[in-house]
Amino acid sequence: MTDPTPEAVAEALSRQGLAGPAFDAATLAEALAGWDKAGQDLDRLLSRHEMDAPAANPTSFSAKW
Amino acid sequence: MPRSIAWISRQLQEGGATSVEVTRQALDAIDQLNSRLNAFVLVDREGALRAAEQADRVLSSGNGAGPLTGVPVAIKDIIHMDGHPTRCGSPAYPAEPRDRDAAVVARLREAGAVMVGKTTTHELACGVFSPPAANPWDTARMPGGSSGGSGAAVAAGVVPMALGSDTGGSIRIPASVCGIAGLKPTFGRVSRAGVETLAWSLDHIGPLAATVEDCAATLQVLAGHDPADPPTEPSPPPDYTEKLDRGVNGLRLGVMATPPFSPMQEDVEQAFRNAVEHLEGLGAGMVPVDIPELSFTMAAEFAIVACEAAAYHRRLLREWPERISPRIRELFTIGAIVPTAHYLKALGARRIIRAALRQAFNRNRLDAVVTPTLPATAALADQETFDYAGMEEDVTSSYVRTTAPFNLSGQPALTVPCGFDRDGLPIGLQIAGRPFGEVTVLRIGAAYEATTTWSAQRPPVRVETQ
Repeated sequence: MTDPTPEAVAEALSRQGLAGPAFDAATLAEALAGWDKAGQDLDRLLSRHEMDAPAANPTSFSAKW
Repeated sequence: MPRSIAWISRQLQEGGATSVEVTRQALDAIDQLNSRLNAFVLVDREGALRAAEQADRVLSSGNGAGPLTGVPVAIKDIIHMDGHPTRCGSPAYPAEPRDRDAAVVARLREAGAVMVGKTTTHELACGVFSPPAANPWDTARMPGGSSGGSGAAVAAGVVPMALGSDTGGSIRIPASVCGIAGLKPTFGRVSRAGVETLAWSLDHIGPLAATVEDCAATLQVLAGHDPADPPTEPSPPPDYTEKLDRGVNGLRLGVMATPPFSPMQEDVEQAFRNAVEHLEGLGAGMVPVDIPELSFTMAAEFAIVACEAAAYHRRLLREWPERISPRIRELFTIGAIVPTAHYLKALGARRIIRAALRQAFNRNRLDAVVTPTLPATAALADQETFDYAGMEEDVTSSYVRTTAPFNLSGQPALTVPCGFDRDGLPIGLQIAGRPFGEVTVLRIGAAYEATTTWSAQRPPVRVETQ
């Protein structure tokens, strides 16, 4: 989520059918700021290794080497 | 050392005890200790005694008894047992009994093991505290999680083995802080059919046990292909016990003590250094290894867990969110609303981490790597953070950053006790091998265990053995 404002979070919650007092958009927006930082870290790692396996499909996983 | 599977099995096979007797001892131990440890959420007295009688018939026939025949064991309460509910440490799960065994329970039953009950798990297997379970070394402290009840039950000597699950460290964390052995097998080595999911691509099932030999004996029973869990390996498992006494002479072991394995508590650092020197003294070649990509472990692990758990628990999250505790609900909710691209980036990072580990193993011709299992010993039950020389870190992140790399890579990882801190709390040594390299990992753990005394220490809250 590039814009983790309470309003944007409330909209995202609504799209997922998540409603009610159990979901506080302001608290979640604050938590999502940390996730944005994690997302940037992942971007950094992926960019650094872009040439290693440009076509590798990340959705298939096997422990085998 | 608590009574091991091997010790009990010898007693049973040589006629020194019956399964009914050792099962009664385990049930009595639960009666005696569970008010202090809260390790069990369910005790199946009748079923256990019935299974023990059956095991005694097999034992006395002299035909078909294996290493687990008649041995009392326990099952983490996210794993289905026929005739009993699976509550997952959550008020959201029904009290109605399940109508079939999980694949791992069926395999244990077939091997003649006697299931005495189900152990406490952190809510939805998503946490490292496992309340209200307590640590037998200090009941003011947590037993780790999420397989905390299994760790406490084995460490106290109630049973020699209890099953756990491990998505980011949930077998190795409780095993380490409770001072016992714990094995997360390779992804695909053990079926997860009939086990409640936290994250499909990271979940593993394995034993927490009194000894490394017991981990090997249990894995022998659990390992194998299961069409009900498609990622399981089709080729038959090797003999996990035959090389346990081969020692480590000539093996090459990577030593990992840089991030994410550091920072760590001073006593943990010292114990780890001593363990490395000890293995070197046994003839292993020790090679320092630093893999910078592992610093991205937490970003990848938490994104995958959040998104997969949000998908698995979507109905619970939408219809009964108040039945999920606030921290876990927040994690699952974030998993439900972050863009799919975030999840895919985390999967991409996982591939890079796995490739970096593979390259490090191949470049250095490593048989395994050793790390501190955790950077810290058991936290107090209400503790929120650790302080590493001025750097504050929350307890969950602290524990998961050293164990999760091998959930992301899928490699086998074992923890064995390697010391105690100044408060008398256990410290663990983690040994991770090549994919499907459990034989080597167990061999290293057994060599270390056999030549040190750490595993023989017993906690203050325990079953008294003769």
